[in-house]
Amino acid sequence: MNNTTNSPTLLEIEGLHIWYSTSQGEAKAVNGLDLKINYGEVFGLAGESGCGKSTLIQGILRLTKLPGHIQSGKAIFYRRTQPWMFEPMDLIKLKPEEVRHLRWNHISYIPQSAMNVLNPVTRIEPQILDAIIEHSNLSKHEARERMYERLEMVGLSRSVARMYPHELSGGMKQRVTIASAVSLTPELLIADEPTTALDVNVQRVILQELQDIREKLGLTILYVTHDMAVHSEIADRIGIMYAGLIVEVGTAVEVIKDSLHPYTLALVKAIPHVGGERQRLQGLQGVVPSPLNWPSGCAFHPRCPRVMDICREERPLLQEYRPGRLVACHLYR
Amino acid sequence: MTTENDIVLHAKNVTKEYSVPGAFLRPQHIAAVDRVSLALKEKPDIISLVGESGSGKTTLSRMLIGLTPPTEGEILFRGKNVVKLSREEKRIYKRSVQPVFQDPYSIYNPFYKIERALEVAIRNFKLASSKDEARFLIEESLSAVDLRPGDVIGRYPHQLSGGQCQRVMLARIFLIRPKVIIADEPVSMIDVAIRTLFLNILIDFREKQGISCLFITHNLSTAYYVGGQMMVLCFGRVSESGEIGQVIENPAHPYTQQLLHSIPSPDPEKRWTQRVSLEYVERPFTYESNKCVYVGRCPQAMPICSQQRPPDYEIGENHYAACFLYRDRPMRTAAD
Amino acid sequence: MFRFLVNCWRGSGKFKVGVIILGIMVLIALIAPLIYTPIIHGASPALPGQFPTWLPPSQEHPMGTDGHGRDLLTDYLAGLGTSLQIGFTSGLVATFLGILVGFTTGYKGGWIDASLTLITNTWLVIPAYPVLVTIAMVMPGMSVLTMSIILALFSWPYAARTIHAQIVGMKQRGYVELARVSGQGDLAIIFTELLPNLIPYLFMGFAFSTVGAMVGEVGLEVLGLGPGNIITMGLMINFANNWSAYSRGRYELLLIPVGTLVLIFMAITLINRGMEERVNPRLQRRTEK
Repeated sequence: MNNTTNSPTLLEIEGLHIWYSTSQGEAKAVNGLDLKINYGEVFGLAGESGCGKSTLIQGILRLTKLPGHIQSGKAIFYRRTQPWMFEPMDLIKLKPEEVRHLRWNHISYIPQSAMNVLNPVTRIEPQILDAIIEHSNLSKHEARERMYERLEMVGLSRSVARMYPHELSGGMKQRVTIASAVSLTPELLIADEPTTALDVNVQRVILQELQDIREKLGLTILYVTHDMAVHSEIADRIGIMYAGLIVEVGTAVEVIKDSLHPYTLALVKAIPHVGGERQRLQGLQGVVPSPLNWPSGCAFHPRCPRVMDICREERPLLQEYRPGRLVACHLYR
Repeated sequence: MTTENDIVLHAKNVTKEYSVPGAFLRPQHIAAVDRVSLALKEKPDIISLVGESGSGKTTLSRMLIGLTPPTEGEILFRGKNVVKLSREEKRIYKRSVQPVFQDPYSIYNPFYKIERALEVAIRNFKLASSKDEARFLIEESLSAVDLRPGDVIGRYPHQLSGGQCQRVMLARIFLIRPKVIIADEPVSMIDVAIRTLFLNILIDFREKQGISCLFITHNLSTAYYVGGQMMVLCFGRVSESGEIGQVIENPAHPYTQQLLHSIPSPDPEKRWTQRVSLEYVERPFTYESNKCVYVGRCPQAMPICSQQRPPDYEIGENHYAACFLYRDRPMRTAAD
Repeated sequence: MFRFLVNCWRGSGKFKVGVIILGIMVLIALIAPLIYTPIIHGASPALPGQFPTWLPPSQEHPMGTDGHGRDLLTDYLAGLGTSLQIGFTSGLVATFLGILVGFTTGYKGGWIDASLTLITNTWLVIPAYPVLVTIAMVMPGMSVLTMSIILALFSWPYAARTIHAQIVGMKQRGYVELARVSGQGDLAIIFTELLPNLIPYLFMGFAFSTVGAMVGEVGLEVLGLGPGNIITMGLMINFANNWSAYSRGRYELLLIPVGTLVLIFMAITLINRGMEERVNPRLQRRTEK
């Protein structure tokens, strides 16, 4: 585990608003979000369904589909131009062709159930090669060499390239997806629930592989999952997302062992332990609010066990409580 | 007169075989469930059936509910084979053994409001004698699972959250008051924070309503949370069983040990240090009936493991493992 | 059922346009007798020789008369009505047959499914048109009803297959299993669980069958194989050809019937597309993690 709190910034998001225009008004799925991801870390984005993490990811990658639109905000990405030089660019302001070039070369994305997106009637090789060639200037020969290199890097043999997806197990397919996504050595890899559909044994291996390639390729990984136990296992820093906003950030140890925000505490307490004393856990009351109608003030206040009057009126800003430790909660003013 | 130890629902040495096209077009017989015995007694308890995908746990659960018959062996309800029940007995059986499904949305007909699921149960099991009584029962059951009737009645399934839909399922259970619930991965599709609420209700059902549960899951931690007995299913065969605290503290079978090692640690300061290889984890299981099903992956495999199927050996009180590593221990007898 | 239609109306522009066009057509067809009865003095619209042929438009004959001595406006108005009638009747019969076969095969499965599916598939392969033509040749003097039924016989397999496919898929759904463990019988499941969710498909199937039947009717009439004593739009096309509408420069004789049919098909297709749009997002269930 690295303490990457003071590493240089790779992606800085400020005041991001992504809204969906519906017949019932604007659904503010991402509602003024601030987030900073540092170079070389595994940043765990934790949040349950309805918090807006999918919208956020799609927004970063400029894959937002109508009726969603990026209302305002910045997403400064430090693109590597030379091995030692990084050039900042606002992802929100880029033109579509520029964004397309950025994908795969600099920012790669493994969507949920990516392994099911593999074309069942084509062998693995052409599927990976097509992606590599489309996004780079490599020749077919060079692309193939690169593909083999990456397959071996994730622990698969070269022969996998000649197989069809249905001949591979779930774990192998997911590793093919990872190998493919890092084939052009991007700076940032965004993985959305990569192990949810896999058995726990396979999950362990995939998490291991991700950490391996992170070291071998100098990757930064944005790992998105609701499973706090996984964050506990692999994240360097964790960001907790609720109602379209980041409500807490810190190192994995800080966020899990010394949670500040009541929502974080609820998530952490809900991590089931195996072995040891069996305690009855509380769980979280209420339901996730709808982005069409976020609660007033702090969006968490209807469910918060420590709610105060001010929480109903004023939305708490994400502020630095201690160096590197951010929280959006009136308890820590 | 029924006593605590009388068996309500019994899977007696059941096997479910499927034919799968094998080499040279000859059908291969694969046992999804291979001579498994399981008993739910009068005394309310939770038995966690833990297994990965393909372990046969869903097949076993469907046999217990009566949705599919076993190829060999019997499913007995209060001592009688469920296939041979009379109409009246079948009604009692249906009322006594109820499922809880995994996908909270697909279990409700999108055409109707969600309370219809409860109304149908009331009607078919004759739980109320008037419309008012029915309404009262519905509200009571919703409150019992921590839902406000006003939030739920009159809504369609897609208007509620996954956690709410799953709790309405439990409200239906509360309404029907079965003896046994067969819950197949009931929490894997709902948010983590809501999971706890759901599991607490299951525990309450056992403590306060006397309802037993067969809790099927691939997640050992949720199984540990609900407590009770545990059976580990490995490709259709029970590899280890016992009281869950005992099995977790003292895992005997190498497969159980591996499952435990794969659980991500909730303590970020205690992370995995050992490396695991995927080939090791995904090597195929063997289906041959005269071998141990785990022999292809077992780090402690011995010659005998490829020659015979291991019987259950006694590890501790009520704790059994099907593994030749313990062949010097007493074998399990017919007394369940 | 009606909630579905209302939702379609609200949700889809295409649906609205289609319904309006079709609605206008049906309205015209319904009030048609009021318009043409005075013109033809209460006689049958198909009666030839009632008037001199090829009269130009006048106050008594707003569109003139045709080559058989009939009032043209009456021709078109009556034709519209009959064509719609044939289409809808046929559609209804086809859908009904389709439901019967589709439900039984889909739900019961087993040997019933296998044998009926065999029949359905064989039927589908039979080239409908030549057979229709043969039947029509052998049966002169068909009535509207007979024609509708014959046309229906060739469109029911489509409805049956669609419904069958839907039911097979739905059988596996969670709510069907839930119904079973709640003590619902097979019939109850078919009617209360499966049928309501199939209503969009039933409507769509009906729409397809209707269009199919009308196309079939046109095909027969154009060849002169339909009943000559009833006016339909298809028959008007046939007449237009016989009267050499092109060479006479009387293009409208061809354009009016063809145009009307095209409008009807378009309206029905729009209605179908509107319903389809409504159905698809509804069927996508979001599951929470």
